[in-house]
Amino acid sequence: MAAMEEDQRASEDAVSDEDKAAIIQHLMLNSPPGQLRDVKADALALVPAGVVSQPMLAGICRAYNTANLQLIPQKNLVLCEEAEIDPTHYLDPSTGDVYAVDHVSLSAEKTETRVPTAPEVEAERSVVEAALGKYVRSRYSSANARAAVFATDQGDLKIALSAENLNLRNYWSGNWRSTWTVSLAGAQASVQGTLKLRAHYFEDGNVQLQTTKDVEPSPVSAADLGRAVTDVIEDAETSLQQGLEDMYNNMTHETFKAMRRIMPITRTKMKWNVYEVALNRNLRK
Amino acid sequence: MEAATSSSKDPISCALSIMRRMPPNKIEHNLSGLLNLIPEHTDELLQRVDQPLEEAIDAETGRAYLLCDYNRDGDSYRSPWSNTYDPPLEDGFLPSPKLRDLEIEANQLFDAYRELYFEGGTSSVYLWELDTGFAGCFLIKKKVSGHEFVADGAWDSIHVVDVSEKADSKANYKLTTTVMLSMDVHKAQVGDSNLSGSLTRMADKIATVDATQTHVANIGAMIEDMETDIRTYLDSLYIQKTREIVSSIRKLRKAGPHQAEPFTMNLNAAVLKHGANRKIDSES
Repeated sequence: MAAMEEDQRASEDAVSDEDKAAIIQHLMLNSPPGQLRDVKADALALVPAGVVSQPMLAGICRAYNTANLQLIPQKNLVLCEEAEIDPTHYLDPSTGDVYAVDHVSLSAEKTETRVPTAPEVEAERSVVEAALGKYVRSRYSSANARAAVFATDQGDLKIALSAENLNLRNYWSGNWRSTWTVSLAGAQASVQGTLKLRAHYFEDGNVQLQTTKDVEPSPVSAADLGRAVTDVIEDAETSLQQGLEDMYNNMTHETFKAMRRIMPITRTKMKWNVYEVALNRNLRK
Repeated sequence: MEAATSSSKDPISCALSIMRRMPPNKIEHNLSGLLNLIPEHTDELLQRVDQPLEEAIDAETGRAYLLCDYNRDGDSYRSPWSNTYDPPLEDGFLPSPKLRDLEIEANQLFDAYRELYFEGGTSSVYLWELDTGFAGCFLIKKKVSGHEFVADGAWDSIHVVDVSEKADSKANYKLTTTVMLSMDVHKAQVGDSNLSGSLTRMADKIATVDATQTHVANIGAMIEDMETDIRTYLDSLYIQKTREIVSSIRKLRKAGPHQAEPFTMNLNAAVLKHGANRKIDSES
């Protein structure tokens, strides 16, 4: 086609290896749940070997894993900022076990066991952990779901809740992640957090849901902390999920109809004839 | 290990596989990244990856038209209404006078079709000659805004049809349709949500061409059926599938193990399997 012939514009300017590595990083960081390996393999196949070094690859995978609260199911680990002792060592706060993590292969080996880092809030940490564990088991259908509770140096609690369901053979995957801060330092304890979801279906196409919702601080009673924190989280998560249900119903009824009708208002299909069209146009005037 | 398996795939397959995984609301951005990685495949990638349609206004008629690779020559785009390029081109590609007549008819009918089903939006049809007949690109863009949930949304249809004329006043029509959908939601209940996607399907038909059953009538009827099918699939299967994925992870109602959700999943898988006979993988 004539319009195609002069399409050398973009190809003239050479892209530096550094820029290529940055593009690969961007693509990898945007991978859907469970598909980082596929995106990585496809992206690396597009550039000469060595454009992305092994340490850089490990760094990109680490950034992806911690941003997505990647689970290592066999080891009961949630990879997140709070769990990170150093870029290759992560803590399971429920046991104090420390694992050496390979971010590329998602394997982990136990290296040592640590005593609680913040003993002054260990009691609170452990009641919240127990209550959240029950909550996760009651609400999350996927076996691959877990909430990790960490004590911070400031005497607060940080929660990373992560659940995923992968079925790539049937072209779908999804995850549900939420992170929470339980502030214990002030006179009134409070909880606030952020929820993130992504669902991907790609049989003959590519359809995705992406959601981010911030949850404002809510006061909680320190007396029954485990239950109070879990109630706030459960309410916020259920309210988002109900909201999404309402959104899906509304899209079908309002948005899809406004985009394209299933049948014309006349209930008859189009007459593909210029005279007919001219006639109808005049009738409508 | 991974590198060894992927190196057996050609760059176009790898790029298309990546595009099938990237967020569908960022097609332009991710495609431009890929073009920077493999600039030598720019032409093919631009042809294989559909992008949301841009709109322009025809200075001569004041009417809006849609831009795509099929009405582009260099940096100029041809309007289907005035048949002129913007910015003007001395020797821009134009269809033959005979094909231009057909293009005028196609634009007129497709515009009426758009009004009938979309009640708004913009349409454009571009035709070009082939050795065995001709080909055409039928485009529609419809934007929506201010809905209860969807703040901004868009429907983009791209129908590319390849027509080969046969003996006995018959013609073979090969249609490839991609519909792109994007819905942006900003609402307290659901925070910032985006539901976007695209679906590609193909159809093939041999039909008689005569004075009443013209090429445009044959193509138009095919597009009409295809678009209705895709709309139904997008709404009731593809979009719903993302909803099922969410509820496969977290239960909305706290109850004992209940059968409803896994059952629906299987039911829909069966429907999909049935539908798969009519589908052709966009990667193939």
